[in-house]
Amino acid sequence: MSQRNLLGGVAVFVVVVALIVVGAAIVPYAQAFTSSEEQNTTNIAKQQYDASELVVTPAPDSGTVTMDSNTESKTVVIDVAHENDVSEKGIQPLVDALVANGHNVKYLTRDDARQNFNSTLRKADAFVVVNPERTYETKQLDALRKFEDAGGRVALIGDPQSAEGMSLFGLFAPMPRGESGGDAGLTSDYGITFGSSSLYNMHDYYLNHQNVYATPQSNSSLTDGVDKVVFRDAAPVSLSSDAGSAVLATGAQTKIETSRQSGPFTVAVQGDNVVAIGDSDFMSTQSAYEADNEVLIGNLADFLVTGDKTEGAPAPVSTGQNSGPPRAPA
Amino acid sequence: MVSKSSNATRKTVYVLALVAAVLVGAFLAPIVSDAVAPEPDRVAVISVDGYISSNTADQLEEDLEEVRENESIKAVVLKVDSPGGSASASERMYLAVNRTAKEMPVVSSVQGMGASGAYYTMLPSEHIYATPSSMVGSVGVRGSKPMPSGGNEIRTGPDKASTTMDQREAQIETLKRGFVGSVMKHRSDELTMSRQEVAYAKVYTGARASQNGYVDDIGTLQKAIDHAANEAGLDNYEVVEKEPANRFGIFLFSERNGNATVVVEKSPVGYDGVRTSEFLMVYGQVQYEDEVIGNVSA
Repeated sequence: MSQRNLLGGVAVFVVVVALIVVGAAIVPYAQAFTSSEEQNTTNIAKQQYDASELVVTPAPDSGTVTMDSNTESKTVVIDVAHENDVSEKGIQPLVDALVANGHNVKYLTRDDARQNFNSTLRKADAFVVVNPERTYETKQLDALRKFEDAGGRVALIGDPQSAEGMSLFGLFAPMPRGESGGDAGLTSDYGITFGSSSLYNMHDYYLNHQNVYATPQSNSSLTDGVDKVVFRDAAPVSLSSDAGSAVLATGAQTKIETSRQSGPFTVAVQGDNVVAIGDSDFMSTQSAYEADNEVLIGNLADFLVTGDKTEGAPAPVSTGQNSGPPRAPA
Repeated sequence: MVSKSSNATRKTVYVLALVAAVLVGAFLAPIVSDAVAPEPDRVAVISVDGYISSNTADQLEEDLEEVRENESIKAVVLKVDSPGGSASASERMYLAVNRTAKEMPVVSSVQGMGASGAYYTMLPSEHIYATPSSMVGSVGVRGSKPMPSGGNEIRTGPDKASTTMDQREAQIETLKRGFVGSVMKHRSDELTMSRQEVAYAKVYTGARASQNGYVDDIGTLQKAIDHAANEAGLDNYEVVEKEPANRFGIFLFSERNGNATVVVEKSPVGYDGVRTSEFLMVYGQVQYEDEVIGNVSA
């Protein structure tokens, strides 16, 4: 083999290898360039969703809690003695309104309830009960009856509770299975019962199906100026014909969560000296300024301080105070 | 003698060359054959299994992209057995399936569970099969209630650490509208119920779902494969299966309770981790400290 042929062979080898290497180096760049052109793909997500139809925006909170009444200073007692499921934030707007208008707000502690229940009511003009989880003693219930008979104002406010946990004190007797009727305890005096299951509305609601709207059903001081309120996790309230009037009710498409029974449902009633409301969240700092909740809170505050209670009622009991041990839930 | 020896050497060389040629030929023949032979048409079966996380979505997006780029694959069957999972991951999977369904037939087969985010995923399918005892539906969203903000830190805005109840409910309602809206968009012709009834988020057995329009028919995976091949006009085809990726890592496990815990570096100011809320499209009991549900039984 000549040297010339050998050099020629080597040259061909070098050129071919060089072409392959250079080609291998260029191809990825060419592919990247090509694929970058192809990446201009359809925006499937934008085709599928119209943000303007999806986005839900909470209504801005507005308004202030005001009271129309112009009475002398009254004393409102709020029960926290019966393991009431209520926090300070849960009633702050109501308390603030009362205090700002010159009224006294006192909390009934467990010790007070044991030793001074009667005397506490005697000094009070109104009594507020929110979600009690401990039963009332018979003597306490007697005192409450006399208090109300004497013109003292009573507000009963309760959220849906489990049927098992609703023994309470008779004031808030449960409706069986979240519907109407049932053992009423003292509520038979008032003719009022609270449902144990939540209400919901899949058609007309505020942000969530459990936040139902309620509208006035009759002219009443409690709903004066109210167009619509929002109740979060509301309980139906039922009443006998002589217990007062249904003053707030939900829409017809509202249902009870457990039974799926359709509404409309009464969620607030008002008698001469008693109101019962099937939701406590409306007067919390979170919900107080949604829809016309602040108007309802102001009206409730007015109701509490506009009673005409007989002085000195309820009279002291002759044989000791109502100091027996609390009854265990039934 | 010399001539005989030379012939023997030549024969040996020829035999060795022949053997070497046969061996090399045997190695190269299938490669060359595969290279020049036309690829058979294929139906890809892709599994959607277990809790849907961001990893599940990554894997499905990757699988479907491969399917779209592979010219031999003419149709896709989603083999679904999942209760759903992360809302954002479910949404991504829905979009990936939607993109694929615009290019080739996609058919779904529910094995045991095709609920919530898993149902969302298969909505763009041309046909959905389920076995009578499988579970389908749960069109809803859930998420934990906002946690109370701590008082031992300084934040640049009131909503930096958490959010309000109203805002959280609005976010969940927004996601619900997207989910329910997609169900109505894809299946309103088949469904026998209204938008509000769908939003109840009920689950149905496959038997019931075939009556109310949540699925198209009772059928097995094989029926779904046949259907997909038929839609693609295939008489002879191969089935290729994509197995689900391993999705039981530590991070995913922590996602299961709805609050993904992201471990950050050990901080000199005492942070051990950050708890962030995650919206879920999942059916079943989830352990929350507190939750908001977008529907009655999501």
